[in-house]
Amino acid sequence: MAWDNSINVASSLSVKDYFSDKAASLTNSLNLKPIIPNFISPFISNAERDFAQNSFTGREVSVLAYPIDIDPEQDHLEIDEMEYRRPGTGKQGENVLTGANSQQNAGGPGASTAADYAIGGSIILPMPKVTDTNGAEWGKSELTGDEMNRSNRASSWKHTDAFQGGRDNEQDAENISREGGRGQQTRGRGAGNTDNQTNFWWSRDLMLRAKSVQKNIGGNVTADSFLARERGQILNPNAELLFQGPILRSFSFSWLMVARSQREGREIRRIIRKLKKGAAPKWNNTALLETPSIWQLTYKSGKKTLKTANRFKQCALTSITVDYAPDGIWTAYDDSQPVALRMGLGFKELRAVYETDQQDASLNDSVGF
Amino acid sequence: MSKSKKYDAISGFEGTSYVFDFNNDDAGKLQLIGIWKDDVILNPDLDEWTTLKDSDEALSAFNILKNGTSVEA
Repeated sequence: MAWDNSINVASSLSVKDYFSDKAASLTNSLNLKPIIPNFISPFISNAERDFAQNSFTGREVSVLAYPIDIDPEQDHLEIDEMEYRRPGTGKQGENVLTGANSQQNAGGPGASTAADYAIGGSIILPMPKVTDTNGAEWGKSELTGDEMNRSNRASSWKHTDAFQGGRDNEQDAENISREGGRGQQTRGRGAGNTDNQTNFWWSRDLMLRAKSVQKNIGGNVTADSFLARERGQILNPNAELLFQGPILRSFSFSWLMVARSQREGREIRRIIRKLKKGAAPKWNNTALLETPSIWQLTYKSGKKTLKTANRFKQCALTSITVDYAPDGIWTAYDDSQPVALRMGLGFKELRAVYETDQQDASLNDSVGF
Repeated sequence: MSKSKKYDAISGFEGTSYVFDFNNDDAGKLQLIGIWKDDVILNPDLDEWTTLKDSDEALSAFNILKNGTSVEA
């Protein structure tokens, strides 16, 4: 190999292009400034804001954001971490709380299980895919004629003892069972009669007899199968869809987080760790564990809550999934920060949404919860 | 794309560290594409760039990357 006396230099155009490319990349990185560190949600009082600002100087940063230069004035999701606190305990212990917001019951509208200050600060993230699902639990309810009869007798004011009704019917069943074919003959006379009362008694006889067969034979023989084979009929289940309770809403979010600088990579790592820390049970001693942090989610633009997206009740963070290689291959920068990662969060609301909540005047002109 | 070691005693520019950045042209020949001054890309329109391009250190860096260190010795 010869030692050259001069060097090859790329064309002037190539050198300038290279310079422009590198300079732009460097400038872009330098322009990625964190958002105002004390940007805290407006519902936090001054005292709380001070607390959050003080915590900023501690180990935890009070406000974390991705992207780190996100403009808070644009639509975003704010996640505030709060300490779980039962009503009537801790600082609120002096208050005697009853009803929907008490130590034993924090499930009513307006109830809260958050400590009265935000301990963990906030996380600002871009708007995720926004969806909400509201509703209530409805289920099929079936009641045979016999059960309906007993229920009617139990709920009737004429019968002071609900159990008495059941005993009467059991006695009826035994009597009819003993009657056997005789019952069919005597009551069967009404079979061709169009009188509703007669039809009812005739059907009731059949029903009780079918149940008696099921009880006495057992096995695969049920009252329905007996009647279906005997007469091509089954017991009327009188099916209805009935309200069975409220539902607790779940929310799933996913963000693809790309680190555009070392500082942004560090911010992403802080966000993940903060969420993992907040979602973990708090060790107390060998006998007791403390509840993990709870979270208030709010879609916001600046300091205003969005009216065009759903609101949230206080939530538990039930799952955090981080895919450090969303493309299937580990790809990282020099400092081993993944070029991109996908973070998924699963939240579940602590309380059901009631009509009272949706009627709140502050929700006027919004889509509500 | 290859970068040289840091040179911080280039005549006339002592106290500042420079790194020479090379790549290969379409024919595979090594060529100087950029110069970094204290980790910031240097503007090729500056006289400083031209002076550094013609420096002994740039030639040394070029030959080392092209031939390996044994040739320099």
